[in-house]
Amino acid sequence: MSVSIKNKVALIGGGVIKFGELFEKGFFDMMTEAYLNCLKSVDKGINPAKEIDAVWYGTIAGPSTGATVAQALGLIGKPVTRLENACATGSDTFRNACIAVASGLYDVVLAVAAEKMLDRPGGLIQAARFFPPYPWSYAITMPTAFALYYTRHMHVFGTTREHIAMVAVKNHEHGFLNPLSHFRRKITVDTVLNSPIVSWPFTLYDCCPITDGAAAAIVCKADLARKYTDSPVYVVGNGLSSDPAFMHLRTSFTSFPCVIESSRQAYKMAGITPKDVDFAELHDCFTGTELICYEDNGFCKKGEGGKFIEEGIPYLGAGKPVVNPSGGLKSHGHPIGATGIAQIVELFWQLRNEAGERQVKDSHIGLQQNVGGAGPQVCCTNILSNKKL
Amino acid sequence: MSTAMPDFWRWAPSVHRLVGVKCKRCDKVTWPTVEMCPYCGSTEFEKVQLSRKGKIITYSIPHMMPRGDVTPTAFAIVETEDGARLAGYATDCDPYEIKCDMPVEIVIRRIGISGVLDEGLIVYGPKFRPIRK
Repeated sequence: MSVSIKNKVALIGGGVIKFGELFEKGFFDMMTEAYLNCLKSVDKGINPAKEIDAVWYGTIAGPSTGATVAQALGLIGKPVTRLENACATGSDTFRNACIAVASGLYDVVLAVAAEKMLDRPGGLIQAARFFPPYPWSYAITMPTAFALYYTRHMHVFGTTREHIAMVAVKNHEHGFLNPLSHFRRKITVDTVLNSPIVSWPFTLYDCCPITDGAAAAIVCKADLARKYTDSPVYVVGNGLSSDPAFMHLRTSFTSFPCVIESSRQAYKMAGITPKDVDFAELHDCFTGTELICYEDNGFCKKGEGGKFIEEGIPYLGAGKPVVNPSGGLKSHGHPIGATGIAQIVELFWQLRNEAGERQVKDSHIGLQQNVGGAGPQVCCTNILSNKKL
Repeated sequence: MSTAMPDFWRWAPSVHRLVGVKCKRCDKVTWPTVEMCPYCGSTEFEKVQLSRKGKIITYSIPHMMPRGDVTPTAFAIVETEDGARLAGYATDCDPYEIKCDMPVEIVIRRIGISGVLDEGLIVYGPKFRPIRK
């Protein structure tokens, strides 16, 4: 890696909509609402038609061409690029917007994403038929793809189904404090263990919901940030890594090499270690995924993810790092393409002390991450800080 | 994404006969056959006949599946005696019998009915079953 973008890009605005079953809102209704919230969040104001130079647009199943977004957001004429990277679409859309600014080509770039998952039936149970296109079609579902990892993890390390139930309990506790969450109710370990099995060892409560949602973020050159806000958030690191698309060609079933590599790249660019991370928005598409990500991001040793959650370390107000103060995908929701940008917006609020009841105290460095595909085949990580590192 | 007839026809020899390729540079076996080694990028291979015996690396047991699938069924990643990996469903057993490291044999069975245009293409492929004496 020859060039770093550390400290070169500032996040100056972020907006989301409340996630959930949004039948009364169409794809562009959601996107427009998130975009308007994002514009409003720019402290000193912004004139988008004049000042936004380019748009990166993320979605899995939404309209495939950028021109649809230019039309919807009143940005006809602007360059719009559509990006897809499985469930890491949101993170990678943001990452590319940052790279575009850091390259010097654009001063101000909008990263916007949306996903409508409930207009057609099926959701994540059907979705996995798309990842990857196995010609002999053994039709695996997303819960099964990720459950494979936790089965092996339990076998090798002695982690239990209670441990992942604790992850769900934590994320519901955090989500309860978040007015924008898809679900806002507290649960117990028994709630999880007594709910129907979706794909052993995962029950209904080990799986994130099927959610509609949208999010938007605006980044600009770091030396322009003060024009828009006195509290910019700086992008200090990012990383992206791919693992084999076919699950049977994966090299490990107790860890995610793409997570290890993507976070390694991001830590290296930022010049920090996992110990420096105050809070992280991780990808709990399934509870077992989050547990393995504690280890693969270096927050605890390999095999000790169960101990980490059992000791209550990633809870708000407890230890470091706090994981998923927003409620995570489990409680806050997972509108696939939009999730990553919504996590970025959570970092924006946390690092500016605007997260209300779920504020992580004294936080300076936040990590945002998505994994994507049937069992992770891609991971994208972004690290932000409220000061230059 | 359902199987398109030409895709199925191209993959059938490798999938039905369990023929893979062994990379001459890094020795890794990939199944089904590929043009380029996913691990090292080499294009030099020898064809190999996969062993019909292996062990379960890991598994999950879906109770909820897309319409038409039988549940619950165990889905597993299997490693053959010669180090190749496959994925597929267990058969001829109670799904909850399947455990990590359990020895299994590979059989070719009907996976399901597919087809981009719902033309009823019958797809065959590997399934696994515990070795019974």
